[in-house]
Amino acid sequence: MSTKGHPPPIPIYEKQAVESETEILSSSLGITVGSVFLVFAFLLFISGNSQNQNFATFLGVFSINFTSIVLEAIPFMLIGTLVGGVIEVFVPIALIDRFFGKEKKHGVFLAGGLGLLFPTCECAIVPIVRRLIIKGISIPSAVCFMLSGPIVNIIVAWSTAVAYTYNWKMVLLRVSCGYVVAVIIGLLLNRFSNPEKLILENVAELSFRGCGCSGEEFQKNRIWSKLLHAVGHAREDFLQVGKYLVIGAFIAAFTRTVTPVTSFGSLSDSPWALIFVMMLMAMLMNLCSEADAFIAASFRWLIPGSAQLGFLVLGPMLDLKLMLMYLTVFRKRAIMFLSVLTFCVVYSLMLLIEAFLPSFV
Amino acid sequence: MMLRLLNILLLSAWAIFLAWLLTYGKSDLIRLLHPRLWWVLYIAVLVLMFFLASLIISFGQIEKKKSILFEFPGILILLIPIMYFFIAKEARLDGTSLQNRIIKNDNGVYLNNLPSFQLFDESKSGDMLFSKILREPKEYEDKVVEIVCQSFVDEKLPENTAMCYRYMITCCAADALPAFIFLRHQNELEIENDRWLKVSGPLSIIRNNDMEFPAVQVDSLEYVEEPAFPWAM
Repeated sequence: MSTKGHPPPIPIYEKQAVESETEILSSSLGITVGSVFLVFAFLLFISGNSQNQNFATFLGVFSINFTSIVLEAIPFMLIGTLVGGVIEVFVPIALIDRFFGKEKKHGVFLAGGLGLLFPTCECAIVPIVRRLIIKGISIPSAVCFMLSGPIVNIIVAWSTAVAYTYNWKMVLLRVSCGYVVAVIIGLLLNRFSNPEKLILENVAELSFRGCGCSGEEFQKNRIWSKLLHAVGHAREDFLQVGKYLVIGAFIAAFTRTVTPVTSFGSLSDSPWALIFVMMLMAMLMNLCSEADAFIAASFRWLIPGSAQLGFLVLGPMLDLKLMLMYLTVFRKRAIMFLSVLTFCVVYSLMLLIEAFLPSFV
Repeated sequence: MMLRLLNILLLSAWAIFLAWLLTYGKSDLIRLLHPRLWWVLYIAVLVLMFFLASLIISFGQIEKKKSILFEFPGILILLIPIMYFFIAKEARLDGTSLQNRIIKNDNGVYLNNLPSFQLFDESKSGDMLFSKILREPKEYEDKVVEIVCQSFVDEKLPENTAMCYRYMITCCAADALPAFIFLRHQNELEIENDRWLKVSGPLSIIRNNDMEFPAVQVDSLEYVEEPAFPWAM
């Protein structure tokens, strides 16, 4: 590509055209879902002129919830896409292969703690993981980082400590449970003969390093042209993942508006049922992992610590908004499988904690 | 080419929207997002500018054929939050959302949500006596205090008692939880629901089920405009 006296052309990123039948089918489904969402969102918006005071109040509170969730999440997602683009262009494949390559079965132990080095929230993690998979990280390690990253990090530990008035047992349990759950799931995926089947065909195809920015020739380009290429990747990721974030935030805001918080706490007296209910609540409320501790802490006097912990561990791993964002990386069946698996592992761990550490808060 | 143009319009719309919020729209932004998170919006504007620059630089280049039919819904979906902002800026969290967000114990007693110590630098956020009272009620016991908060009148509350509340936010309005102080008043005083009040009077502490709730005996009450910083912290 580069010859003496002739500078190499600026490599501008162009999304690879994928025309497989699965992709077309998936796109058609995406369009249908997207169009239904659009019609619903427009109708709801137009009905804002309704004379019904109760409906107007509902729509007002819903709009506050929706726009505030998006305003909080979208900057982190933009940062995440940019980090993903930089990883794609600047992180050497050799480094990925050395620690998290497909042959490195123990990479999950390291991946589970990556959040300590790169603190990320759940809105940023999906585009980063998508890029890491494209770059060649093994699927078990990618899933492990995706699940643990929004919990096993300093910022989340700090916010949990503040919310629980420096109850370090809660902080330690949250961080360690996040790590343990992610590693268990990573190890389980390691046992799969072909975990690549979990990811979407277009992501899998890109993971064959088809873009070319990992090649030696590309790496000889000037820094700014490589940066431009990284930004191109980031932009495509934003346009790809952003719409799912908006749909997820819309559903989350709807749930948040119509569901009274106190109803969750009063559903049952038994700890095992409360753990289940609080985990369900975490999935429906779609809170940021930095803020969820304050909501959980408000239940301190009502429900056992294990149920609060279940809320804090599951929320950053699995909620409605995240499940929609996962659609940009994983197949639908894989999302169902991972969701059920994550839920079950967290629930089992919380039951163990309830049995052996019943009063830690 | 058309698709690239639409993407430029989309990214420009978001960049302008966020830049407007951070300059002329601060009074609206403060009702949606905690000020300590505003710095990420500055970064978001910067990233969007990078995206725009990369699109404009590559504008003349031949692009791979992508169906506009497939991509257009995604572009419109990304514009939906900007559309809903126009409803959100006129709306407020009120007594209805309070009932949705307040925590009650088994006996139906409302529980307060304010943390017991200062989380963030509050000096820039105006008069925070409301938050200070909730944190250290004993410090203000029997002293005359003046607070600004929203009224909540409910028949489930004891006679001649109302609640005066603010929402506490950590990140954004979606995670806001109510924190309140009781108002005790004379029989003849009728407090209007869901109004911003400036109340003054001596502070006492109500004890119930091992919990303490601050209460102000209303000496004077005035309906006021919503403050620029409506949250408790």
